Amino acid sequence: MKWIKKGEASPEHAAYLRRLYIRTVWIWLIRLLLLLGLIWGWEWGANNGWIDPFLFSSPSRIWEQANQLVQSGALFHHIFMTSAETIAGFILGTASGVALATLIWSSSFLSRVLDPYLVVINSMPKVALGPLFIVTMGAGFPSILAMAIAITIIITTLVIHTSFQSVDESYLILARSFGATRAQIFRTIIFPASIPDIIAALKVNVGLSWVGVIVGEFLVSKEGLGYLIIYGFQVFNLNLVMLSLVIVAIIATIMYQLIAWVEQKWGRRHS
Amino acid sequence: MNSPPAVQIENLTHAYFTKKEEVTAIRSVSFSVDEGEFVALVGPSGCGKSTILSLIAGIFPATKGIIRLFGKKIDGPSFRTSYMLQKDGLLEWRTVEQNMLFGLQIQGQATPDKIAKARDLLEKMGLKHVSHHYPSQLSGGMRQRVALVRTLAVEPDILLLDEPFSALDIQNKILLEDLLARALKEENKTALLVTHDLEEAIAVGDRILVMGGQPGEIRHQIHVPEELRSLPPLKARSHPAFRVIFEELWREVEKP
Repeated sequence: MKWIKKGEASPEHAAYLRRLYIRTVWIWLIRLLLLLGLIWGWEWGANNGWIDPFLFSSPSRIWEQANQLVQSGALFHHIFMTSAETIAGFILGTASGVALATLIWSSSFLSRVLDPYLVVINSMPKVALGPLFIVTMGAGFPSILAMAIAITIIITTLVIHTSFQSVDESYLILARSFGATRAQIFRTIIFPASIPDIIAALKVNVGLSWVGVIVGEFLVSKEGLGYLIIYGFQVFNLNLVMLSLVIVAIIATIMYQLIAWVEQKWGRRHS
Repeated sequence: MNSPPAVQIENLTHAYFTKKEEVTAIRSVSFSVDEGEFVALVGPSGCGKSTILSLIAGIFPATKGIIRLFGKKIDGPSFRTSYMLQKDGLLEWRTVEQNMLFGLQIQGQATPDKIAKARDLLEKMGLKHVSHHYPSQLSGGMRQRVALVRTLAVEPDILLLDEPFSALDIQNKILLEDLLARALKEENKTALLVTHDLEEAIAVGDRILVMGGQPGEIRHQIHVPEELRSLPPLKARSHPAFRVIFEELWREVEKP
């Protein structure tokens, strides 16, 4: 059991590390048991009349549905489409949001001019723009992408612009005293100082992109997990709806964890 | 012909504007600083000491009046000045070495020769061992020393010091005063120091300008005697002449 006490400095430290390790093991064990318990309870309840399997499906029915879709080869296609749309929407939405914030920062005059427009566009429910996108860009990938971008871009712009403006004034005085140009100030101070906020925006945008993509697929109704959900709902195949929800939950979690990993690596380097 | 003074200020007036009012910070201030001279500006807070320094640094233009550096009128930040503030302004995401080279990089002067000089200076300040650390890992005194290296690395002719040591404990303060005084004397640099610490003004200054009033103006000037000027700041503090000057300065600052 030496590996439990890895890096010990003294017998007391070793005991402390041991306690810490045992605690972590317990936490994971209980988490796993909770999950298994929920799945088992769901299955048992569905088979014994506590839960209506026609409305709420059951783990075994979801599994069966998954097998069917995997065999026909359709499942991976839908997963791939939705993931691609989400990732593209997330990257483009965040990047253009940061770019727009930079543009606004570069001129305080422009910032004042555009302010009311940003406020109006931001308060607008972007989902309402869906029909417009479909009419102009057709029922397909471009419309869904546009929806994901529309949902993320303005809020990113506002948050990042605020972050740019809240950079410590003494940094700016210092840079100016060395004769820095506005572009130099942006590159050496404003942008690096805002990296933690940009990464926080990434986290929010992962969630928002999913909203945009799923709603987009609802409207376009051609392919993807959002389409599976709306299709399953229309033919009253709730197994399909539940399966899609489970998959969305898993992929969204993976993406969120990736961003959290990026944050740990770059976001909080020295604070 | 005599060479022009390092800093020459004529009838400088500056006002800050807001929507509601106009606040005049300084009115008709004139003085000059010779090359190699160390001038301290003292006075109560709000008398416009820092405003004068920011104007000389070219951070913003004066409302009225003329500033000349070595006879040349300024119209913005000059490469000949270097500005140091109470807040060290070290960029948290850059290492000590990258911070110390910040000014050189901004000015596009980060040549191998100048980088080597800056590294020497860092070593002289006793900070070579932390050159790859981040500012958050340093103590307040060390951070301000890095800021001093950054200020000197651009090889300015004129140093503008805005209460650079006032946030430090007394030991670090005197240590840094010594380092600064030595660095300046070795290269015959000109310095203008804003401080509210009268002892500091006497210990490091050759001449002291006493400011007062709102809007601020220069009320009085005191020449520090040669026997104090030739001593390093720590030794000057314990010289008998120090008390005499201190009392004179105290009376001047106290005057309404």
